[in-house]
Amino acid sequence: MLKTIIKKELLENIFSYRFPLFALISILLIPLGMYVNQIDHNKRVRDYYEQQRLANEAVTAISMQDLMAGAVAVKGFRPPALLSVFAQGFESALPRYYEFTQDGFKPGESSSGDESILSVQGKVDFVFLVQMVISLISLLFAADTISGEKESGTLRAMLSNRLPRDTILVGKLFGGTLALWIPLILAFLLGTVMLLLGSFPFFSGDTPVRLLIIFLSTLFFVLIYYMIGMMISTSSSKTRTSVVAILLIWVFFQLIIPKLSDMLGVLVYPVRTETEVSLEKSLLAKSIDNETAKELGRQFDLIFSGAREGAADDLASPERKKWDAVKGGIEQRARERKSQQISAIDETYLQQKRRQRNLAVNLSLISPSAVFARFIADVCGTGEIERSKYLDAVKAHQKALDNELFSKVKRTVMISPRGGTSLGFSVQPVDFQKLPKFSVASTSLAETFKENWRSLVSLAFWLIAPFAVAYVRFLKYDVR
Amino acid sequence: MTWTIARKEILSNLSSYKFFVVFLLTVLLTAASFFIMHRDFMQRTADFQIIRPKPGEPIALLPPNPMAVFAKGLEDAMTRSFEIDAYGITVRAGQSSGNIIYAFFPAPDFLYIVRVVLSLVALLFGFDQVSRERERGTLKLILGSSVSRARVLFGKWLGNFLSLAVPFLLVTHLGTAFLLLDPNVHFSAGRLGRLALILGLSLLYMSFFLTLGILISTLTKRSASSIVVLLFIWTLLVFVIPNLGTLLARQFVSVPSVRALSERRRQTWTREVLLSLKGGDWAGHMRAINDDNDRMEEDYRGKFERLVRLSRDINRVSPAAGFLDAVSEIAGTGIGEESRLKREVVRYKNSIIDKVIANRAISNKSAEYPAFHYVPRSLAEIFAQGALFNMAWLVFFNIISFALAFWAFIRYDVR
Repeated sequence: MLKTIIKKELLENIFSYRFPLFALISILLIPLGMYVNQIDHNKRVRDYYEQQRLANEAVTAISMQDLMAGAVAVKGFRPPALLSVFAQGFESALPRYYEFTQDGFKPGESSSGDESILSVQGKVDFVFLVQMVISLISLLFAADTISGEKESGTLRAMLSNRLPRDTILVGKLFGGTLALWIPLILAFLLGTVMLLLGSFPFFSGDTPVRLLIIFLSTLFFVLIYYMIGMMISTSSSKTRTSVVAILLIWVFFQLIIPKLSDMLGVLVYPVRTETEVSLEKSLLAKSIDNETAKELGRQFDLIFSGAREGAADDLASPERKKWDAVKGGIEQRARERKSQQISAIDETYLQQKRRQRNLAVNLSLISPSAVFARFIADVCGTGEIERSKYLDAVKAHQKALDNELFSKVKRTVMISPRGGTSLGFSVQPVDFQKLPKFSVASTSLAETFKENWRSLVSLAFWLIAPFAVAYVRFLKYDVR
Repeated sequence: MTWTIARKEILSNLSSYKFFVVFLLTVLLTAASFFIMHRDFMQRTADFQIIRPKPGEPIALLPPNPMAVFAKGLEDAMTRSFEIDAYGITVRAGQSSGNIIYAFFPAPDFLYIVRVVLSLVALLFGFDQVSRERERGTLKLILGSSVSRARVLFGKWLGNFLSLAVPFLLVTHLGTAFLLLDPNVHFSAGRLGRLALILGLSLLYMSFFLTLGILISTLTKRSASSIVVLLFIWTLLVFVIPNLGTLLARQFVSVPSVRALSERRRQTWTREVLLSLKGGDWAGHMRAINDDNDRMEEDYRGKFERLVRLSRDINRVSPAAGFLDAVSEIAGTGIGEESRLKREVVRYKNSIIDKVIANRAISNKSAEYPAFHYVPRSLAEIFAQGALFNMAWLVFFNIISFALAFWAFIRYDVR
């Protein structure tokens, strides 16, 4: 009997006027979106290699003079994420590269840059289409499943047969969802074939697994929205009411929750901007440098005031030995103090930002669509995880470069108490060919799942709760 | 008689649960939008205070635009800092408030709310105007009396439009008042005028969707099917077509990649520097580089602007795209304003580049340059460059859909 109901639902949906519209939208848009995103992606990859080559050339051209002048900036590029074809996420908002200098790192331009003009109307990727367009269509398909039959009176006839109500509900659920899945699966396959024709490296690494995850979660997502629609449909006696209610719920999930969670995040945990923090850091560094220079000048005068002429340049003189020890000590302390205070600022700032972000992300767990978008972005390597990993990689690289490159040149600035400034250098040789290479650690699937367990729980909740409500309401339903 | 019908519509709207929920949603969203965007503006202002160029520095950097609260548009691209040196123009990130958190979902500016949410709300008001009355049988009674169909239709439109527009204007005024509490937000009379224009456009846009709703409700027998059809149309107009234009345009116009260009520029530079080491005057070589770059840039911009124009033209099929275009241009964050800014920056560069090169040749680092002045386009220019057309286009959409609704309603079978 279940099969009969599923078949009836499926056929009814396929022959309704909505079905061709939906099929057209999904089969046209999804592959087209993938195709265009792939063109963009290929361009980004070409740019990435070209830029990296040029940056490497620039590194080999660095001279010790540049290093001494503090004018060396090494660039580290982030490779474009392959699966950004499916979910753009932060891909175009993240800086393309970071610039590493003696005084720390600063972000380069984000890839949106000049091309942002084209994304004024919004970006179309697979996730966006599923999240905004397909979700609405799923709800609409579900809107009249029960209330429509109530209105036309066929529900009464159906229930007078020897047919358990749960069979009807389950049959309707699967019939309706299947009708939605068929065009979606076709569109996805078509898009993937198009990607393959465009030399998309389909079989590299765990790409097929990731694609499968994207595909399956999309199917589940559609199922969730269909169930939410059914829940509303069983709760209202008229299709018109259920459509209006569905629309409001859609607006709430799709538009209000993501914005409201951002707003609450900002409201509860306000943070300063990055520019303000970097200003604070550079002011701190400057004041410590200044203090050190003054201290060095004072000590220099103390040690060499009674010494003979030329003692400062004579490596063997006792004053010079004492001076070297004192100088080393002062510089060491200053370096430690500087790195400690700066990393304290960084740490607090990061913590504040993480708190704000966590609140926003956790609040947006209420909406299945926000959860879906974030999860898929993480699977595609363009989500939160990638962002934090990129930043970690940048910090690690700065440390490595400090050790290998920037610390090889020591500038000693002295401000004498009698006035006047002097500048000295001590230089160790650097092999510019063997500088550490910048790379961002890739995220394994296990990590993605571990980071996203809340999202998965939320999705599971949305998979079960609407069905339970629909079930109870339908069982209690008075047919008259 | 028209007014009686309009009044009846307003009263029945006021007493419906739909109105209450919709009103609540709108207030919530608008408040959230104004709050978030204002916060964003404050952070940008703070950033600008830190990175603003010192007098004499050859840097072009615009202060944040308070109108971006209403339409964010290309504000991010426009507030980058353009530094002029002997290489040409170097673009830096500028005021990125670091709130990448908003990068995941589209910026919730006022424009987005009107474009996506309020259009939907307008549909909700319009979708059952005729079909519901038919279902209930009240339409027969109305048309049985001596009132003309045109009056009925217009009365319905007026009543629903007013019950949409009045709360909308109220909420927006409250939001703007909240915005004006911040002393950093300086709204001159000109800006208020622009704001009024934006509100007018928003009303036109909402009225189009309301009329579309009435049209479809006269074409369908049941209000349930009317809303389904409407939602399909809405999805197409708001999400699908505006993006399709860009996708299609990309197929017809190919643009060299920005990065490749900028790196080629560097290569020319290296080549010329090597030549200059062999002899000849350095400044002359630098000038040669700059001419070369300008040619490349011009070629690129020409192609890019063709792409943008084509995609805009295709997008116009949807009133949502035209609306977005017009509002962001009026707010001063649109495509036209951005490309003008770029041209101005190039002009600024050309005016000081000789001095920059000469100073660099003698390694004079403390040289001072005239500051960059940018005067945004006046409303007249904005209108001339497309906004007026978009506005007329929106009016045209309104008229067409109303005319069609009228035509369908005249022929409507009440039974």
